[in-house]
Amino acid sequence: MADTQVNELLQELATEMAFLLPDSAQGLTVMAAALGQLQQLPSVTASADAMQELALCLALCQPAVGAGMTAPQLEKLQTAFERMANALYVVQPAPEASATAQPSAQTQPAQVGPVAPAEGDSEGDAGRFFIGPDDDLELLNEFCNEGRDLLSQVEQGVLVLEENPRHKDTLNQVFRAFHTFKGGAGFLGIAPIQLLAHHLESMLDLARKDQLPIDPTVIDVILAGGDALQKYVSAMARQLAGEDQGQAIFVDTAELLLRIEACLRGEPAPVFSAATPPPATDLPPATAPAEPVALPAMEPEPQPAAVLQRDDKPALVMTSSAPPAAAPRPPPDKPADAVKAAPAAAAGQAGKVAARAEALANFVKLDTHKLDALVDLMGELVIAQSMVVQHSLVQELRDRELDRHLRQLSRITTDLQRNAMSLRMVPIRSTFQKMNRLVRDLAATQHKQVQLILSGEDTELDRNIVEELADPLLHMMRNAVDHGIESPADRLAAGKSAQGTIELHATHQGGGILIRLRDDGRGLDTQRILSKALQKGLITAEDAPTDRSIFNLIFLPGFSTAEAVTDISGRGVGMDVVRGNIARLRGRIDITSVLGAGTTFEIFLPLTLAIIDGMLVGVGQERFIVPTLTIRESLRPQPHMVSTVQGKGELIRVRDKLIPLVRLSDKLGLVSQVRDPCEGIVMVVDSGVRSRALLVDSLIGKQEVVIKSLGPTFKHQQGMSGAAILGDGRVALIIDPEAVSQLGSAAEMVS
Amino acid sequence: MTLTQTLPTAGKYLTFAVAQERYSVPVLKVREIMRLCPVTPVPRMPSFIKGVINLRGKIVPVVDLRERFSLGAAEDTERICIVVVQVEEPDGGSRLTGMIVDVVEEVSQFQSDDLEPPPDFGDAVDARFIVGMAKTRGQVKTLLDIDRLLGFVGHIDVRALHTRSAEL
Repeated sequence: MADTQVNELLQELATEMAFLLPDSAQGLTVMAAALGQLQQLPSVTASADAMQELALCLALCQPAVGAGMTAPQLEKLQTAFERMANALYVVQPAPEASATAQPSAQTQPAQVGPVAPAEGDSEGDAGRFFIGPDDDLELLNEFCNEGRDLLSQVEQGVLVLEENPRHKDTLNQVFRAFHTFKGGAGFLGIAPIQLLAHHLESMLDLARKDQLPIDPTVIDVILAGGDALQKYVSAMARQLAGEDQGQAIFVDTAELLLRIEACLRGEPAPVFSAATPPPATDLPPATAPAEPVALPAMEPEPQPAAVLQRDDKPALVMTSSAPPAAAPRPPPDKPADAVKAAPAAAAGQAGKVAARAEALANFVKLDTHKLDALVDLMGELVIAQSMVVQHSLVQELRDRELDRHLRQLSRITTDLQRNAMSLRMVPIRSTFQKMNRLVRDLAATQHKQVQLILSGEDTELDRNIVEELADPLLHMMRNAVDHGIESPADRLAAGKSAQGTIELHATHQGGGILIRLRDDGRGLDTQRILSKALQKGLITAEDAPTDRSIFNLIFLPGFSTAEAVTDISGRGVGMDVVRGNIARLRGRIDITSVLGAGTTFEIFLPLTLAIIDGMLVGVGQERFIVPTLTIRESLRPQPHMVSTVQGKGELIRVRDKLIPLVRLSDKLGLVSQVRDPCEGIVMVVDSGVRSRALLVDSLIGKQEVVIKSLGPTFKHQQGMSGAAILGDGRVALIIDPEAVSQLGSAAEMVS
Repeated sequence: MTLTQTLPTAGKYLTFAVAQERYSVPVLKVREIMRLCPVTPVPRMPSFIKGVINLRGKIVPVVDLRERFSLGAAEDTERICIVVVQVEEPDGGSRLTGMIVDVVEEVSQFQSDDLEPPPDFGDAVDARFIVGMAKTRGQVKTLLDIDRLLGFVGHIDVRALHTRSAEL
């Protein structure tokens, strides 16, 4: 098909074009050849516009082959090429390259896209396509993976651009990201994605050439474009994963395309009355203003004053692109939006932007299984090494040189192991970046002025933790903007600056990581929390909790329900989920808050999930590991501390608290010499809400161990959270104190 | 039951003995043969699951075939081995599992003439772990379906099987 050829050639040309450099002959030969081929194709000759631009391109290109062209020439060539490409894209009946893509609206008039294509506009694309059985699923999957990377590049790039709209490298990077997207979509014949990416690319191209100032409108359009592409990619990924197969993949891009075109023409973005596409970070509906749907019909509430009033239902006329009504449109060269960081020292800012742009550099993708295998082998190497070093024959040799070599060997193996471990570590940056976007969107929808200050983004921790942390952090951040930060009017009335500040800070602390989320909002109202807790029966009137324990009440399941706490914290999905998530990562969370001055959350996490600090204990003939983090104290009980309650079992009195005694040997079905608790060791563990006292025979020592899964054979096994390989190469099981205390005794199980 | 459809295929098999019986598994399934090493017991598991061992950094469960087949303890413990095999999961994954056997005998080539489908044991549950029988050099060897044997958690009594196969 001729049109496929056109597409391929355009693709090829666009790629070459993106890499052409002034005064360099590189790539020009290929360009000239491709342009020549293009000239022969019937569908190109059919378009007079395209032919004209094509001739211009050729005229520029051919003499330059082997010599290179100057920067102005190059620019001319790019313009001509873009115009030609645009002309050709219009000519084509969209997705000819594909066996799969649904023909666009032109060939299928019955299309029922919710937004009718604008009159006379050639982009009547309904943004709809299918994944069929004939498609190369592997390629599509690759496209999705790559697409995600590209989109995160776009998003990070946009954040740089917000601060420095003229950052050339970042502009190029975002441009290239969309370009690659377009290329991939073109190759797979996914016309709607290709079209959208092409538009976005054209827009970025103009910006690259300083013909389009990057103002908040453009930024919004880029973000909206990224979101739309993201939706395509997620929908494709879902289908590839086997969900909703055979359904059309549809994202409504018609309006977005018009907006991009408006930007391309340099016009102010058209205002659409329809509800805007929601921000990418799928916010739960509750976040949206109370009645967003009915609004378009409403008279636009005029002015800042109205909006600045304390209002839980901000009357808003959000157009997708218009900046928040409260903020007067800034002059284009000084983009300021609600979230924009306060103009700090300009020099420092520039440095930061450069650093962030740099951080977008390349990295290697690696299968995590390979990493795990490497870490396994490293562990074995360390064991083998210590077996050699501690071997009695070697010890007897007492040779100085051998000693030196052995020490060298130990050093290297330890270093190697540490290095292998660090491969799993990634900076927390990516998770923090998501917050930027979230706060920006939320502040805009809520008409609040919020400044987000991130620091310590380079702090590294385990990849899994970084990923798992995103959800709880997003939730807390939403709370901070939603309920923590007051509206500008309230803030001014309280004698604070109109702009609220949220700080998100990560740092290493005591072998773990500390993440602090601080806002200067209204703080937690202890009285309200208390009365709510009383009302819900979570505490009794006799309890006289301290401030600290009052704050902790918000973590209780059932405390935060939508109607109860709209302006204290949480909604629906409560802080109990947050705490659960963090506990699963073996971390903990603390709150401090001053009414009227703000709230601080502190999350402590281990650096990695792969290693725990464990206490090696002996029970009968076996050794077990108890995670040190869960142990509050270990002691040898005195006879007067032990008591038995009929029908309830044994209790130990530790510091005036009665704690149920759990005999590990009974729970695990082991024969232990220690029957009298006073001969053994009792470990007080905090499991969940309640404390337990685990009785073991002896404490052997404390050591860091690499956690390994027990595998599917033991998936029904309760009481053990994994296994670890000890220094002598043998396996010891890791006890889950919570689960083990809930087991019945092993003897009962057998009978 | 759709158990007897897979006919045993000719090829190299590893033969080992448990009690008086000889069993064979395809060599390609065998990852490692090692001397019996200390096994860390996992509490609250069926008795035939002896526990776990460290196989070069991997945690590998170990099944005692004598226990699995409800036989008594071995008298001669000198030559006890752990045969580590690759078990295919029903969901397409695979994992390593060790089998404690009395003694590992040999690797030999079974021709298709030597192989027979499993004898009809009637309702005996045992048949589900057997792919077929091999008769070479006057010995009868039972071809085990280790994916089922080591995947299935339940009790097997092979004493009935022994008497039957002796009649063959």
